[in-house]
Amino acid sequence: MSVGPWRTALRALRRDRVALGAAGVIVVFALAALLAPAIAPYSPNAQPDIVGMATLRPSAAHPFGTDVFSRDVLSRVIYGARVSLGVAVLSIALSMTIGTAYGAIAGYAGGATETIMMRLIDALLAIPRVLLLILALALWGSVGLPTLVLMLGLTGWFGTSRLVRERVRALSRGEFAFAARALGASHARVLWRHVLPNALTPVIVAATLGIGNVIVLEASLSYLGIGVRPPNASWGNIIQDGAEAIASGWWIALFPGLAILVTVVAFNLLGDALRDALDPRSPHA
Amino acid sequence: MRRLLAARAAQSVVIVAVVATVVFALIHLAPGDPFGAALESGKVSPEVRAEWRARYGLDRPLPEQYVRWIGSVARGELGWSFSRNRPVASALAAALPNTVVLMGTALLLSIVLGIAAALLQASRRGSLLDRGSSAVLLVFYSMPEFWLGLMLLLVFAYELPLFPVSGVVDPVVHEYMGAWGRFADRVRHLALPALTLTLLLAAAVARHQRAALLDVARADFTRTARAKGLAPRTILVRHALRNSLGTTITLLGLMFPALLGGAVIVETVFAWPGMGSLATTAIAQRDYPLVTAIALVGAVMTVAGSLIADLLGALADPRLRDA
Repeated sequence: MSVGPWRTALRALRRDRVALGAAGVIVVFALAALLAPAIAPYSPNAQPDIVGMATLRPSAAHPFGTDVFSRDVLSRVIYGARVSLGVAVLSIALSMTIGTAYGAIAGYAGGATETIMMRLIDALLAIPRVLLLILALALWGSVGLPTLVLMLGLTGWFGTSRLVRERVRALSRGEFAFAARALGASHARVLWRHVLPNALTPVIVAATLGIGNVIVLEASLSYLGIGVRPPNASWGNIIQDGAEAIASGWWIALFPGLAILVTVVAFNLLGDALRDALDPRSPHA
Repeated sequence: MRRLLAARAAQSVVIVAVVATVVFALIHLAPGDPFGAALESGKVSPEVRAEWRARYGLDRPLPEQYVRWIGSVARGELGWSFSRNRPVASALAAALPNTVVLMGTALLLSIVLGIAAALLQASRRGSLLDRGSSAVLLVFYSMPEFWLGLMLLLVFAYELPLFPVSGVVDPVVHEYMGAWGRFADRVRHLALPALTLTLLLAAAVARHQRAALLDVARADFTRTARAKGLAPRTILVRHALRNSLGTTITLLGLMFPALLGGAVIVETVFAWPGMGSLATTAIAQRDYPLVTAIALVGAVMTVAGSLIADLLGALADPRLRDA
């Protein structure tokens, strides 16, 4: 298995201050998510005084203020990171796996199989993903987190399969694949050991950019009230709480939105940097 | 050109058929039926519910329902919306123009703004202006549309009451305004939702267009133009822009599903009575005929949007014609 492009990429990334900063931000958010019980000042669902402490402005005791149920917004944003990042990472892992497998099979098979498989992808890509998810989630009523991950993962792999197919198609007709076949390697072995490792670079870029995308998507669904359900805090449903109280408590919607923004910008910056580092045509590589 | 058109039109029909089938399957796989809520309230006996189901054909085998449904859609009969108590077609006719106005405004503004921003950036590559505006564009590109909408609402409707909070027209005084006043009223209501969508879409257009312009800047013909002594500005507009416009238009076609999805979400933030608002109430009330029709219209809009984008792209760039 070739490690060439990886090493080049890592070396290029290490010199890229923007990419390092972005990776740092992602690590901080990931740590906050993992260590939420230790660092959150309050319990995310505690409603200490629903009359006297509701919708308090940001202060030393509550840096992000409190919401209409007197819950601490900072603690909810920290716990929300667990749900929002966890859902995004897991669903991206799922969609990258499906997309890679599908694209690899289509690209390696070639011929009519490939044509039919990719025409189906064209059709699936034309469906507005948000509408499809709204429809499915609303029809099924309240779904748990595993189902939400499943639905986001199952609707997110179409673009990846195209990228992989293109690479696999080019590589599997290359001389080294031909040589491996001549040495008696099976199709499965050639695909798995020789073609796929070399076809994965666009998948890494797509996964990084995709995480940012899914964070926004999950937030949108939770904002509509059909994604992550209360009392589970996710960045999207905290914003929904804030939207209902927008005139009396701007801070409830502002801070979780900033959390989304900072995370997604970091993932997009890292993805852009990875693409520059991994793209052989790029002048920085 | 004609072959491209024929191929893309055939593909469009297939896409709409796939979407229709997926939507039908989803609706009928999901638990519950339109009369579930009535049953839970305890006022409706199981016998009455069975009769209702029979009247709407919900007791037939699934393949039969599917064939009947495809048949009636093909004849243009979209059915009766039981949540709005009016024909599905008339509910759609009321909502669709609002969504088209919102999306059309955002699309036009973002193409103009996005390309202008990219030209400005590419003409001063590496400058403070280029890097600063790239950062700003990335922030908008990364922003959830509903949150941007909320923040604009907070600042420009609540803190500084410059624009109305929701709707397409003023519910009270609109009827009493003159023609000019009515137009201004509509523009004031459109401003914030359209701005939300425009900012996000323009950021995507500009990011792509800047990269495309810089790609072309490395091409041989650009070097030739420079060697001929053409002004940098002429090269940028006459050579680089012309050669990169096609891919940007194609990109807009690919982004059309996301734009429609974005419009749906922005509509809910501003209570804009378009397809998005219609969809959320239709789904909440399990109004199957309306839900399926909305999904179909969405698919047709998406397909039409990408078809138009492909054709415009081919007009702008002959190299895209035999794709």
